[in-house]
Amino acid sequence: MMPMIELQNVHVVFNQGTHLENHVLRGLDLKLDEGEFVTVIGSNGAGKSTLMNVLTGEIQVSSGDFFLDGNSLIELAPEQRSKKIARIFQNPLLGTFANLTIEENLSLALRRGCRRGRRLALDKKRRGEFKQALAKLDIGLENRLQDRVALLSGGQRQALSLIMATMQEAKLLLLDEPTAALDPKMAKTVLSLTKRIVEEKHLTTLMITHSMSQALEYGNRTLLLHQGRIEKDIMGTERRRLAVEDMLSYFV
Amino acid sequence: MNSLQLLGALELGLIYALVALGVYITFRIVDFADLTVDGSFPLGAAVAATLLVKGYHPVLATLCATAAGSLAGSLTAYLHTQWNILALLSGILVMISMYSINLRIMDRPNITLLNETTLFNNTSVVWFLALIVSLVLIGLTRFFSSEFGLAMRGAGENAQASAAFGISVAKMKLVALALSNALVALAGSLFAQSQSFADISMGNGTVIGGLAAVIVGETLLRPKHIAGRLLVCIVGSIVYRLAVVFALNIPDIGLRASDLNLITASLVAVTLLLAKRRKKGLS
Repeated sequence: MMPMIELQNVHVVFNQGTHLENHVLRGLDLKLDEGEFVTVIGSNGAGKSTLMNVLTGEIQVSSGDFFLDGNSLIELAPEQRSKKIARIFQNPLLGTFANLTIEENLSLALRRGCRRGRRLALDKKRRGEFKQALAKLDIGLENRLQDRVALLSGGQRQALSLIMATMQEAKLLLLDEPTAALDPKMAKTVLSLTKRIVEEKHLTTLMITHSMSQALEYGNRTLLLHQGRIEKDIMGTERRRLAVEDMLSYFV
Repeated sequence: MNSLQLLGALELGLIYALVALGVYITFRIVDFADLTVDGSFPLGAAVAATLLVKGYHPVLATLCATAAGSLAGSLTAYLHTQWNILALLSGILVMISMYSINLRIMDRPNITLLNETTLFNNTSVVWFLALIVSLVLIGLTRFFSSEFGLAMRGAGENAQASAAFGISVAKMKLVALALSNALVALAGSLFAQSQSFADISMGNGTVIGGLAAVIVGETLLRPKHIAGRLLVCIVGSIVYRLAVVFALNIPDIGLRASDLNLITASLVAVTLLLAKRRKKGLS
């Protein structure tokens, strides 16, 4: 079967030809099947964030290709890829529109990758849908539709980001250390919510994390990135048996 | 201050309310410091005046002026988004070239419209202006409540998130600048028709005047809804013009009409400084 997502021999070199030259991704190959929930770990500088930005289109590859359902996306700008790719940023401030209200944020998210026309962005029907979606979070946001997002805490904003990213269908969901800015309790809430939504919608997901326990606890496959390549690809029985201590040994 | 001066201030306030709305769209909504405005205001006046002198219908002349303004705005956006020229510089380039273009259009530095038929021939100027400004307010409110308009507000708020949700920030800036400069050129054409002249230098300080109106409005009121925010620009513009007439009428402080630009610039600078202080105090 053809994999849904395929990265072929991707190289990313920053400042090519200068003394600051930095070869971040060195021939990275990656195949994801539909419905896989993959966690990615690696030490600082291994290329995790670069990998993410290559997928979203924010970083241009030096060479290599990126296929989704057999079509190459490598030439497309981030906003053109957004129809197929949803994402959640590490910094909750980046993924939401602070000075717009919660309902306005949701309305923008609802039309991800769609044509936006003269139609009113908000009406009774949409507000009802938004309330329903927010009620799932169980943190009281459904009663604050007209509050500006700037008034929310980091955890609330990240939970809202998750709803926003998954409102509209996507082929691939990207999460870039979604809990790095949250306290442990809120981190757990956001992650279990992620897990629930990913399972419900059967989303193909790639999540970068710094936490080895998170990497093993969530998803069904774990990639270890090292010096711009995939060093370990762990799944199935091997992954279930693996303890955090075993993972640590990979970093030595 | 007599009633004639008051009426004059109200007229100017309503005309410059359109400039304030245009400036609000660029500076506040899409976060683009657009100086094209100083060129598109006289452009609107030049196009309208030239067409009126040639005997065209005032409505047609006004519409052509508005369209010309949107072209000027699009040009600035094009320089910025396609060629990566700094926003300020793109605006200045178009503004400077407008000086030559406006002279070409008018074929002389000023045109009088005293003997021409204008939009205001058979109506009360203030009421007709109030009608136009109200229609613009209603139109803009509807626009910014639409999916497209909301996306434009999002693009100014957070470029990265916009891209993640499929909004092209470059496209939004282009539409915003076209819309903004269309409004400013409309104001220019209304100014020419109500004051019965067009002059090559009438655009000087337009952007600062518009910004002052926005800032005065925001100091008075900060409503949540977009309709309220747009309305505040109009209120700010009228209050600002009334304050100017009032200040010029205070005896013994020796202000002259030509001091206006200095006073306006100081007002804008002080308000921005105070806003910054206040922000620092909070954090």
